[in-house]
Amino acid sequence: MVEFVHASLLAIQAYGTLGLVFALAFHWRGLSRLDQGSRGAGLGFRWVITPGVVALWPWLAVRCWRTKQVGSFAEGPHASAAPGRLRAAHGLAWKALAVLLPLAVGVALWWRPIDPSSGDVTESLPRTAAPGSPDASLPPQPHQPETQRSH
Amino acid sequence: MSTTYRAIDWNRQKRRYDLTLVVLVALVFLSFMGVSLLRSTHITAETLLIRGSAVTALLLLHVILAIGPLARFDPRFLPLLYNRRHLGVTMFFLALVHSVFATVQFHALGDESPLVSVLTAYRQDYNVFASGGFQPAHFPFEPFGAAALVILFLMAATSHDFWLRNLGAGFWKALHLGVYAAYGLLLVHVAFGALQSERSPAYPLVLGLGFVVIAGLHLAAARKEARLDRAELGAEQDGFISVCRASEVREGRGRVVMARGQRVALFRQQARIFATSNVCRHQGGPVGEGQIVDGCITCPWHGWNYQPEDGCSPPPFQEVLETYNIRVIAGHVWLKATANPLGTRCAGSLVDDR
Repeated sequence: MVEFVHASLLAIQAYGTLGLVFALAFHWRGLSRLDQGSRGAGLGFRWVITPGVVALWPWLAVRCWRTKQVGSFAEGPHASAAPGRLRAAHGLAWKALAVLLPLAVGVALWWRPIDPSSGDVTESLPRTAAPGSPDASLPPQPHQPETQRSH
Repeated sequence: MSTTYRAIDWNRQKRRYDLTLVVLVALVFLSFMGVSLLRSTHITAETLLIRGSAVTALLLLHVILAIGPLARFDPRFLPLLYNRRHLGVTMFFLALVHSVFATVQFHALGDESPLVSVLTAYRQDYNVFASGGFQPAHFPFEPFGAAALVILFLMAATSHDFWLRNLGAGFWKALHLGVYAAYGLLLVHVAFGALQSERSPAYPLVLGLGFVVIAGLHLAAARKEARLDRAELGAEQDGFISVCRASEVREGRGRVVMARGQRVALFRQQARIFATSNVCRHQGGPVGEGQIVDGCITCPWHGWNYQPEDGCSPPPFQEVLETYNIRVIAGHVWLKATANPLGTRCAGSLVDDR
């Protein structure tokens, strides 16, 4: 699991670095080609869209490439979402949440340990030490954060 | 509406909106800190910051989720919808503050990278079946918060209209429906995290009440929308359908009617009734719930304008809504269910209220 997380974070790092490089090129040439509305846009606008450019660079790269092939790819002023489908998706999402969330939160509350003040939970609660308490002064164990439950 | 992109199209209303937002967020944050300090003087500044940002972000998320359905029921909530994306971006930054400080405080002292520790600490420290039975206090709650943060980041990063136009309205809307997944993930994050050590019954009660209110509002709004979609069609003659009485369309106001499965917006201006598509070209807002301002149909969500007679936005803007042919006969509005080609001019139909 740790190896998998390491590899995933490394992949995300590489993806982000490529995204930053792409963002530079995109601001230099791609942006005005992709969307004519961005011509003459200021630095503030470029800053605002940069996190999205870094996050979605493969999508934009494909769009830039296709724009070169077929002309502007930005949706025209007459395009619009399909409201019927969106309404259906909204309804479905809330029906799913209405069932799943009470279930998940119910499980979390039903099986939560007995009140720590009763002294019966030393076995069931993870190590917790409020910052400043005597336990908190102990050196942290390798790969063992000392206060996990105080968020 | 703007012909060239800007970082933020500031206007007086947006400035007032954002100022109010900053003041309210600061008030909630400071109130939380004050109450926490009154309850325990041992609490550290870092813990206050972590908890305060989390509580404020969660509260803001509830407000964000409530605005949409509330505006469907009462137009007085529409001004809150106008700049909702700034609420979302603010909420993301609060969640970011919470996660950065929590990661530093609880995961930076081990021999593992803090990010790896956030996602894997439970593997060694928690075992949900450690004592034979299920132990939710050992459940890894951090990855749920991290997943919600990724969704909130994607939504905040793509909140500019540039993305709406370049990702496509359908994809953009689908991406932003992710807020519901983020909400679900955050409630699980709180239930398996903070609620395992916070013993007061007030916390789960408040969380549950928030969920019941938000889910109830959304389900009630969905029901109202479905009822409108199921509205029975009136009589049909020569391709025209009787949709409502002319008196039901008030001067300067809109009314939404159904015609063969699609919603059409009716507007009355200077004793004439016009019909256009009900779907705003910006974010798909319900044009028919808006009104006529300075001679233009004005979408209630973000104020995009269209001329009633041809559906075109006033120059230099280029957005166009479909128009529909209308007849008013004996006090009844008859609508041709097939839309005209874009930009078709319709003179509307004169209403004789005598």
